[in-house]
Amino acid sequence: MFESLGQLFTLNNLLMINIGIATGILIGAAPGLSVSFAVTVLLTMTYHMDSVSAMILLLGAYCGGMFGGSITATLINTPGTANAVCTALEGYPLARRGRAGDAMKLALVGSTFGGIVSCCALLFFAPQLAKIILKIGSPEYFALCCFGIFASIGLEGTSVTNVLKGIMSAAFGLVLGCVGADPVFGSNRFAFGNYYMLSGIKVVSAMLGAYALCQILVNCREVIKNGEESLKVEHVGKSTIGLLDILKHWKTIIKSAVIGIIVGAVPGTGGAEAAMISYNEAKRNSKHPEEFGNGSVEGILAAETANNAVTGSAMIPMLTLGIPGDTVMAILLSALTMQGITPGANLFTEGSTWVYLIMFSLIIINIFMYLQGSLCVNLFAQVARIPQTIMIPCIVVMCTFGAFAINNNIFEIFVMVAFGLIGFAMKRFNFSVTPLCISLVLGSLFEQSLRRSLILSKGNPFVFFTRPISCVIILLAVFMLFFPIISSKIARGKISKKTDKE
Amino acid sequence: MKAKKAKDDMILFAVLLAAAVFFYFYVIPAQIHMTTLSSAEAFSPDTFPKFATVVFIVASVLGLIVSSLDYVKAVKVDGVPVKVKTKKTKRDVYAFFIPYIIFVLCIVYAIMFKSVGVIISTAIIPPIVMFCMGCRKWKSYAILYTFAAVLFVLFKFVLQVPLH
Repeated sequence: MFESLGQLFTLNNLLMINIGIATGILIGAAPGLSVSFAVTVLLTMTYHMDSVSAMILLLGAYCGGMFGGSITATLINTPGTANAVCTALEGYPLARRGRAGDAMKLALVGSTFGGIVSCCALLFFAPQLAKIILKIGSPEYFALCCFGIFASIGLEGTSVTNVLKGIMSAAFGLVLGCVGADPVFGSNRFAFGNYYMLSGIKVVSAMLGAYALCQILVNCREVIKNGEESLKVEHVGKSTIGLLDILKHWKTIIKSAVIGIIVGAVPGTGGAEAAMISYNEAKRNSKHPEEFGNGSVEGILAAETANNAVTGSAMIPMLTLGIPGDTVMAILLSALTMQGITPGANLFTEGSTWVYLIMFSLIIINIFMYLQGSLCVNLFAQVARIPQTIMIPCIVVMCTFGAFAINNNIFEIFVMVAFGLIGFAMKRFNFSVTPLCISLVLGSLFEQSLRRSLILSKGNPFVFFTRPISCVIILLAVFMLFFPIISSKIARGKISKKTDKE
Repeated sequence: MKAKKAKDDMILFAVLLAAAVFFYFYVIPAQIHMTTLSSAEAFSPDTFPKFATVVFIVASVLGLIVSSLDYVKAVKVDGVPVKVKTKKTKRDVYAFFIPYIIFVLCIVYAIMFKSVGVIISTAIIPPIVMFCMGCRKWKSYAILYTFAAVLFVLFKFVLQVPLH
C-alpha cells in the first residue's frame, strides 16, 4: 500500500492538488459563492481525467473552499461561506486591531490541523466501518438512504412548515431520480418522448444548475437592487503570533477537531454546524470569555479547526456506504460514479489501493493548503474585489461549457438551465435545495433497496423494523428529522420562561 | 407580517397539491410505459414514483393545514393583512425581472451553442448578460472575452471536449 502512495507524488497529481486548493480558496473567499459551487464547477473538468487526479482536484477544492471563507470573513467581515460565520465574529475584530496576519495564521493553523486529524479519523474508521457494512442487506441500505434524506431535511427544519417543505423537496428529488429506464423492467419513465431523457437526469448537470446557475440568478438580483459594492481589502501584514503561542490552546484545538469529526460523520450536517458548536463550546470553557466577540484567539481556532475537521469524516459514510452526508459529498459521489467507481465496502476489501490513495491525498492537500495560505493570502483576498458584474457572465460561460462537457451534447445545458430555474424558485419560496439533490443522488439506491427488501420479505413492509440494524437506523432518521424542531421549541420555551421570571 | 407569510404558504401548498394530484393521475400513467410483465408485479415501474408523489401530496396537505392554522392564529393577533402599496422604482422592477432575463439568455445561449457554434454564441450572449447587469466598462468586456478564450482552450485542447 505504501509503495502505491508514490503514485500520488507525480507532477500531474501535485499540480491537480494545488489547482484544486487555489480554486477552492478563491471561490470560498468570494462572497456569495459556496464550497459546493467550487466543487461543482471543477467537476465539469474532470470527465477526461483519471480517477485519482479527478478526486484530488475536487478534494483540494473542498478543503481550500472550507478555508477560503475565512479570508474575507477576517478581512472584510463578509464570510465567503456559511462555515466562516464564527470566524468573522472573532477574526474581523482582530484584523481591525491591526492583527489581520495573526487572525489569518490562526485560521490557517486551525484549518490545517483539523483537516489532518480528520484524515487520520477517515483512515482509521472507514475500513472498520467497511467490515461491518459487508454484513448488511437491502433493508439496512434502505434505512441508510432514509437517514441521509431525513437528515438533510431536518437540518433545514426549525419549524414544521420548513420540515414539510423539505419533505416535498426530497419527494420531488426522488421523482426526478426515476427519470429514465426502470432498473428491473427497463420501462421508460418520464421520457416525454425525448431520446436523451431515457438515460435519466445526470446529477452533475442538475447540481450545476441547482447550485451554480441558481446562485448567479440570486446574486444578479442583489447586484441590481443594492448596486455593485467595491470592496476594499486591506493588506495582510506579517503575523506576530508564533506556533508555540497557538499550541498553548491545544485543548481547544483538539476538542474542536473531535467535534468537527463527529459532526462531519453525521449525514445532514456540515462545517457550519461544526464551527458553531465548537465555537460555543470554546466560549463556554474559556478562561477569558470576555474576549469572545472582540477578537478571541480561541474563537478563531475553535471555529476553523472544527469546520475543516469535517472534510475527512464527511467522507466516511460516502466512501463506505455510498450515502452522501451533504451536498459536497453528493457531488463527490456523482464524480465517483462518473469515473466508474462504486463506493461501498468493496472499495476496501477488493485489495485496491485506490481508496487509501484518496485518503492519504487529503493529508497532502492539507499541507499544501497551509503553504498556499501562508504564501498567497494577500493574492487570494483580492478575489473579493472582483465585481459581480464580471463574475456572473464568467460563471454563465463556465457552467455552459461544463454542462456541455458532461455528455458532449446540448441537452445537458438545457437540464442545467432548468435546474437553475427550479433552484431559484425553490429559494424564492424558502424550499431547501439540499434534500432535492441528496434524493436525486440516492434515488436509484433508495428504490432498488426498497424493491429488493419487499421482494425478499414477500411484500412485508415491516421488514425494516424486524431487523435490528435497520430499525435503529430508521429510528435515528426520524429523530434527525424532528430533532431541530424539538430543540428549537425547547430553546424558545426556556427563553419565554426566563422573560416571564424577569 | 406573519399572516401574510402564512397566506402565501397556503397558496403555495394549494398550488403544489393541485400539481401533484395532476401528476399522479395524468402524468404518471401517461409517461410510464407498462408492459404486461411489469404490470403483473407487485412492485411495478410506477410504484416508486407513485409512492414519492403520495409523500409529496401528504406533505402538501399537512402544509396546507399547518399554514391555515398559522394564518388563523396570526389574524387573531394582528388582524387581516392589509396590502401595503409602495411605489416601486424602475430599479426595483428591473431587479425583479433580471433573474428571468438572465435565465432566458441562458436558454438562448444553449440554442445558439448548437446552431451557430461555441465561438459566436460566446462572443454574443455573455457580453449581453454583462450589459444587462449594468456594466459599461470596456475593460470588463475585455476580461470576459479573455476568460472565455482561456476556458475554450482549456476545454477544447486540454480536456479534449469537442467544442465547435
